[in-house]
Amino acid sequence: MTKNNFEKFYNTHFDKIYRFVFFRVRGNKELAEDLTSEIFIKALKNFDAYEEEKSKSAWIFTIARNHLANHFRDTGKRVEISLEAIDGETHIEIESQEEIKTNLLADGFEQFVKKDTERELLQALNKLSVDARQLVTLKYLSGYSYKEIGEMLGMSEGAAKVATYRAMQELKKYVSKI
Amino acid sequence: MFLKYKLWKIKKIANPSKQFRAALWQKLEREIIVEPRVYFWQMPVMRYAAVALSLVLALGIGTGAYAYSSPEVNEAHPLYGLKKEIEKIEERVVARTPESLATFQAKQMERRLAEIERLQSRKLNFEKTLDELNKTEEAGLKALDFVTSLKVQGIIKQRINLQGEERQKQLEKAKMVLPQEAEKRIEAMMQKREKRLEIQEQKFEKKLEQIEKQREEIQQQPINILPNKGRAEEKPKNSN
Repeated sequence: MTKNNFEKFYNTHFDKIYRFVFFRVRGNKELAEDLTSEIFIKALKNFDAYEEEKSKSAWIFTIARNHLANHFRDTGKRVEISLEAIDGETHIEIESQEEIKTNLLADGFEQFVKKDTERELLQALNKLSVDARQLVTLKYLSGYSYKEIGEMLGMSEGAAKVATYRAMQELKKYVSKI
Repeated sequence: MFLKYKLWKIKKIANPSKQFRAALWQKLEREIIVEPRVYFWQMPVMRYAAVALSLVLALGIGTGAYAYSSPEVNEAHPLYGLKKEIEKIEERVVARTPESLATFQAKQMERRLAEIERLQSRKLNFEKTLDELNKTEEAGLKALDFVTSLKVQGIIKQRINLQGEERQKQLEKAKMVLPQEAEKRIEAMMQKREKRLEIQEQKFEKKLEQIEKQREEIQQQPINILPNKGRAEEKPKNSN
């Protein structure tokens, strides 16, 4: 491993991973920073196993997702999870829809989302299915490309694009209702 | 568009702070164990390669030096090609003026003569070397034409002629060794050489005569110490 390689890796993935964690911990900035630090330390320790050509974003995304799952398990909190877990394993229990509705607006989100329209949008996001919400979050909030999303979720780039489009259509319906 | 824009705004709000990014990188930087970089020449295999390379170099340089300096390396020797190549390089480097070119050709003649001697002692054919010797002499004499200093020209010419005479002696001996056809060719070469030398000699003498004439003319002219005054006196005569 060379320092330059890891620095390049860090600069490429830092923002996306942070935002991914940030939305998963519902806008708790301090917690997001702690978890992001832990994720990158894990990545550094296992960096020799990273193959840029093969895994690209999927490797760090898997570390982040597993780390979050461990965090929620340890702290006793329940979180939402995709019905089709990315690596085929179910890590965490599924939250009830009622819990999801309130969770995104709880804690830190209140602090940083000041405008009503943005708050409404987050409410609409809560109404989406877990898979649809994940796609919208990865594409529009974390900033991943369709290709990267496809790699992370084990689907083709085209399939990721179509699924995200459908999720956005679903979101539009909820936004207009609010 | 509205929806995407709103999501984009939320994304912007959720950006990590620069301080956090820098602080985390500093922390990670301390954790990175940088392995000492091994350059390819530091690899164990390269040691053997270096030894092999230096051996090849030493052998190459040694062989080149031997081929260049020894008269044993002649037209019957496998290293003769290498010797000729080195001589070509030497000519390009050394012969930059007519004087140095003529001197170089004189030196080449000495070399060729030494080679002929060796070939002769082994009773081997030396026609090619002889031909080269003639060419070298020709080139040397041509270069002499461009030498401005007569003194230098005389010295180099003497050296070339000395080699030529030496060669003549060798050729007399060679008649015993070489086949009859070769003998004829050698005689033809010798005749050519004699003609060439005659022409060269004539040129040299002409040049000497010219110089002598010029010298006499200069001596006959009156020495004008005050040229301006003399001209001033001449002017009224012309007007009349």
